[in-house]
Amino acid sequence: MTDQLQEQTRSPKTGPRKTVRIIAVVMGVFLVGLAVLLATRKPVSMQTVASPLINKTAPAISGTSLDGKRVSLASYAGRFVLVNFFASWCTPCQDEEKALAQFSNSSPDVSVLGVVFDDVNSSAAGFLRRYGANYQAVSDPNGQIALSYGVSQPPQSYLIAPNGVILTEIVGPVSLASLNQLVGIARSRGF
Amino acid sequence: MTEIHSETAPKALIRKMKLLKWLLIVSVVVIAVGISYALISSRPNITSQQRVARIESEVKCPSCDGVSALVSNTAGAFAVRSFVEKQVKAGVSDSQILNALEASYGPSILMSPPAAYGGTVMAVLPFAFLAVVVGLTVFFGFRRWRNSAGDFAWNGQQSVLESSIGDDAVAGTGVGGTEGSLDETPQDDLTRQKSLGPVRRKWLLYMGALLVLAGIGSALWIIRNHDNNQKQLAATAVQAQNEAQTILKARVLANQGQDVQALQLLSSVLEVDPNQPVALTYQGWLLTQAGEKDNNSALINQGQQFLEKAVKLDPGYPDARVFLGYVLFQDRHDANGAVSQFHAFLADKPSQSFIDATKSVIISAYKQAGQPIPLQLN
Repeated sequence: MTDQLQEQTRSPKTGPRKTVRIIAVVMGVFLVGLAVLLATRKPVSMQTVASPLINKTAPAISGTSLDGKRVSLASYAGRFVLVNFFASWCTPCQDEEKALAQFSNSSPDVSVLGVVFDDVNSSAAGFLRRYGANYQAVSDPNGQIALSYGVSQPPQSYLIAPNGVILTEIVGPVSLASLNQLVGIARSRGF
Repeated sequence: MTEIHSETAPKALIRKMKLLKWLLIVSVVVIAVGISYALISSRPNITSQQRVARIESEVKCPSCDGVSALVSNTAGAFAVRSFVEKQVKAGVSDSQILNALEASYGPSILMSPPAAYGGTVMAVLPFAFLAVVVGLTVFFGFRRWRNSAGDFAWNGQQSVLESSIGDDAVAGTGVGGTEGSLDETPQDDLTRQKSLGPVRRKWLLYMGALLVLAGIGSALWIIRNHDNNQKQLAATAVQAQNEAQTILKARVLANQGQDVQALQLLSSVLEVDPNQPVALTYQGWLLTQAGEKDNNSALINQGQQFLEKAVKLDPGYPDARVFLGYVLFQDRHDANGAVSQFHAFLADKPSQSFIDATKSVIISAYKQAGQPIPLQLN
């Protein structure tokens, strides 16, 4: 009888205490895990992500070319187009220019469309002439084309498939071999 | 008599409880409507210029590191500003403008990008945790209170019963007998539960109402605070924009030789913000230049003080370092002091054109101080 009474009086006390202990342990583990996760992850400002434009239709480009003609990206439909943001003052742009000039002449279904980034048109035109580049380059006086492509600084390029979808973004100078490789991969995937 | 009383009492109590419940619901609805009205009517009315400035302050300059498009003077920042102004004029909402930029650059274009690993979850977690802790505290606190209140009520009943039975009855059965008669039985337990029921419910309602009001109060405070922050941010953004434009004008005027007008503009900036390092730097530089021209040591002293303040406020600003170095070397003939400023200037990685424009004086200072000339200057 006494044991039963003791059991009855003990059980309500031990029950909640046990529950509280379990909850405390679970919460402790959760908080420690959260602290570890937050302490070890890279700050968001340092995380680099691929361009959100990849696999999406390329933003429209239309404007005046450096030789005064109307140019639009739509007129390149059915071909691979490398949209290249460049400036005459940019050293890496000088490094890649020869490769771009060669790439634009490499195949009839491949073109390059230059976009002037923060540069004077005459300087940009002179720069292209110096490297023997005969592709079109469009002026972007307010930087709105660069903004629509998410360009931070030149050189930055976007390979666009014949159906108008952006296949890849290249930050920094390009090489002829890598461009040919990219186009080859795209062709093999049915673009 | 006892039966009639026991039947009518709970009915009256239930009626009161129902009334209390409805009163609570009505009061919550009234408070919610009042708060909504107050919030809608107190929405800040900001001008389109303030809106533009606020959005620009929320977007990074695409080619800079952690600097907003509002204060940067790069081509990318100009493009962002032009885009934002155009969109605001076209009546596009703030979120649509920010979304459009995010669609091109990704979330890193925002000054405060949403957190990774499910931003919403991360934002909600602390509140969820707090809610669980408060819930558990209330639950266990109430449970403990109920148990102690039960004991208290039971003891109260016992004393009333003892007095109603009378001393004789108690004496007849003896102390032990009384204890035995008052031992807990299932029926007694039921009576206790019933007697405690309304009290418990009433307290539960009070606590519930209190929690609801506290929640509404907190929400109101958070939203009000957010609005105030937004207003403050917009005002700060406009101020920064005006400051940047004024300083730019002053620098242009100084380059054109219109030092007096440039100094007036810089003074107007410093009146509003006495700790603006760029304005302090150019104010200091122009004053020392004027002091050199007029051979006025008071002006040179004043200019040096401005430059020293600018260096103290922003030790990483190369213009302030190089100008202070100039003053120390050319006006104070302190080659060692100048070299320490030039050293800091070169460490801040200034542009090559800036180095080219200043390197002859810097090299002279290093030579005079007997220190090796840095490679950057060769």
